[in-house]
Amino acid sequence: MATTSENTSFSLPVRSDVGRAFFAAPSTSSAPVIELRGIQKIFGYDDTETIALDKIDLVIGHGEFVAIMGQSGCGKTTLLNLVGLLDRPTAGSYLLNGRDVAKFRASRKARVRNREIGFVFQNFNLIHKLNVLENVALPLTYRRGLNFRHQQRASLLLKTFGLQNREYYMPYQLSGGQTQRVAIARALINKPSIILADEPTGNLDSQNAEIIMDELTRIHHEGNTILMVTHNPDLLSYASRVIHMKDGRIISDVELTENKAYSTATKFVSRRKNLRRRRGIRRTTKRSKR
Amino acid sequence: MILPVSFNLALGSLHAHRTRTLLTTLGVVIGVFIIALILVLSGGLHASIAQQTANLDDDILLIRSAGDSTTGMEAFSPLRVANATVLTERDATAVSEITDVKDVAPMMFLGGTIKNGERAYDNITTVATNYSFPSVLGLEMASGSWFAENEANRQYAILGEKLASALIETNRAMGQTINIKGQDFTVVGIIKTTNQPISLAGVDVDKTAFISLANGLKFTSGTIAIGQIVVRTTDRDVLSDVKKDVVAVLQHNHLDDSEFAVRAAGEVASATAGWLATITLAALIFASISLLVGGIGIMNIMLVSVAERVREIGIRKAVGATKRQILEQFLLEAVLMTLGGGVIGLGLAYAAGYLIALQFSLPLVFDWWIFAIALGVPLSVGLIFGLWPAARAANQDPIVALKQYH
Ligand SMILES: Nc1ncnc2c1ncn2[C@@H]1O[C@H](COP(=O)(O)OP(=O)(O)O)[C@@H](O)[C@H]1O
Ligand SMILES: [Mg+2]
Repeated sequence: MATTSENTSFSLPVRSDVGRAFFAAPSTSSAPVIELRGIQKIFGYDDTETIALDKIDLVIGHGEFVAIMGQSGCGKTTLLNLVGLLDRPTAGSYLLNGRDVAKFRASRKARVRNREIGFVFQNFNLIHKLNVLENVALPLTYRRGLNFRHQQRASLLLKTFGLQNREYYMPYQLSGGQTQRVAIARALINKPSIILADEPTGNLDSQNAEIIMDELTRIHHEGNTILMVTHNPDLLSYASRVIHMKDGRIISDVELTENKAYSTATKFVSRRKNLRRRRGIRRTTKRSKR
Repeated sequence: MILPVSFNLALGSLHAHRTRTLLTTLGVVIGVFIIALILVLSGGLHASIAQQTANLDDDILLIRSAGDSTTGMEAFSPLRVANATVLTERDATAVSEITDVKDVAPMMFLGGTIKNGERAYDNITTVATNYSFPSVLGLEMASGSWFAENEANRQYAILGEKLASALIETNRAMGQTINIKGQDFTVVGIIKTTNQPISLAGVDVDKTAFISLANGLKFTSGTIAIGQIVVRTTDRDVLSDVKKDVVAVLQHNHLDDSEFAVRAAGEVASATAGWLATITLAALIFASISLLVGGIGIMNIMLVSVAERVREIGIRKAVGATKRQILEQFLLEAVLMTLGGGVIGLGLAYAAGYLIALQFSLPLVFDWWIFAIALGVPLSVGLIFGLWPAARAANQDPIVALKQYH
């Protein structure tokens, strides 16, 4: 990975290029994982009525890495909550892997969350009384099976995150970046159909944010489907598709082929003139550390 | 069921709040302690009473002064034995002359200090009675013998075996001189241990000294105040006839039937059982209040705990915990708390029961049903009072819960 990025470090869409070059490009043509049709979410009624989501149609295929952008209050979190079955739509249909999950009973929804969805939160949301291993194994504990088997699985997974020597740390003993990586491991432990990340780097400095994005990219290239909310345009270059929302609607939905990824990134560079330089520097420092 | 994890978690969170947990559990500890103690001991008491009714003596009548009571049954409370009395030696003599009466033992109850040299025991019951006493009550002698009819004026004393071994050593007691309320007596007999703290004698024979009525008179400046007259009939079939005759004789002597009460031994045993039931009931009410207070305390602590852990609940729901699983986790916590209290209460009850049983020569009961009740009660308390907080936890909206610290 390091050698490849050596060559490309000063061409722009660095991360996506690296990923694509190294891993087989994920297929997006198979049956959709998520299929939202005419989804509406209204909070309150009469005077207090807020239309948080307004007739959203969205299809996400297996292996996509979708980034959602938009101003605060435009409905991103609401959308993620609906997809994650934490909330129910006011109207519309939601198919997860072809099943009309919006109609499921609460306990069955919980089961779907447990087996098919992984959450990553802005504020990490580890349980502070549990150590790293127990936190990662948490989704498995709500299934049949022996505790130590669950923890074995969590332990194996933590190795791929390079966190094997942090297994018995408590959350407060971790850095922000480590904490979020543990949270990502927890989201991944159940081999979910989709990972929902709501501003996963929102509470991190740029260096840690990049570590997290590297981690998500790795997971993406291993074939996982990711739906991520972000405010940071820097992070778009990691995604395979970018959705812009406004007032509860999707106003643009761009598939980032490598060219588009390039152009999108360029667009942002032209907006923020020093981005190119900053990124270059960051890469360099990072590489020299490795 | 997610028991192993919940179990660890519950223990962990209880451990993290040790002081709080301990204080809240106190009500349950006290409640279970009382209930278990009653079971542990009353098992013994009931056994003792049953034994007494079985062995003794459906051919025995007891006569006691009735005092103010209207039913007369209160006269037979073990607490009332030594009360002021209207019965006299004349009554005893009159009763002994009734047909089918085999033996009569009048009993005069005296308190006071018994000394053997330096050793002195206060508040020892001394009973002044006649030569018939051992045969009426079916007592066996460990050594020596009871004073004979013609020995009533000798300074003789007979001791219960436990009193004897406390005062002197048992094997050296015979022939020793002891001092009862300032007068010297020679020990001429020791009664074999009966292990019946509650008996028809109205005293714990094992811890009592016996002297003759003539000697007893010396302590009461000549007034004979008989506390109880024990009557043994020739046969149990004649008991009710004899009872009628006894009542007639006493009415003749006293002109007023409310001054005394006559009961068959069996009735007295059941009266004792009734008295025991009353005490048990009172203790159970106290225990229930204690458990109620303890339960409310636990409910309160659980509510606090749920409020503190809203975000944890949100996380758990997000990763797929069902309502039921959250409910189970919090119920388990409540139940562990109350069960812990139950175990401590049970342990304390056996510790206290052991000491009390030792003191009163009662058997200590170890029975599976005592354990079942002593642990079943706190289990139910935990389930009942833990349910509402647990339901509150289970009904948390994960979105709201996760927003809490945003
Ligand atoms: N529980 C709620 N009750 C009422 N209004 C809500 C609730 N949750 C979200 N909203 C409203 O819905 C809109 C979208 O919110 P959200 O999805 O959180 O936006 P964001 O894009 O910043 O994540 C906002 O106007 C917000 O005020
Ligand atoms: Mg949001």
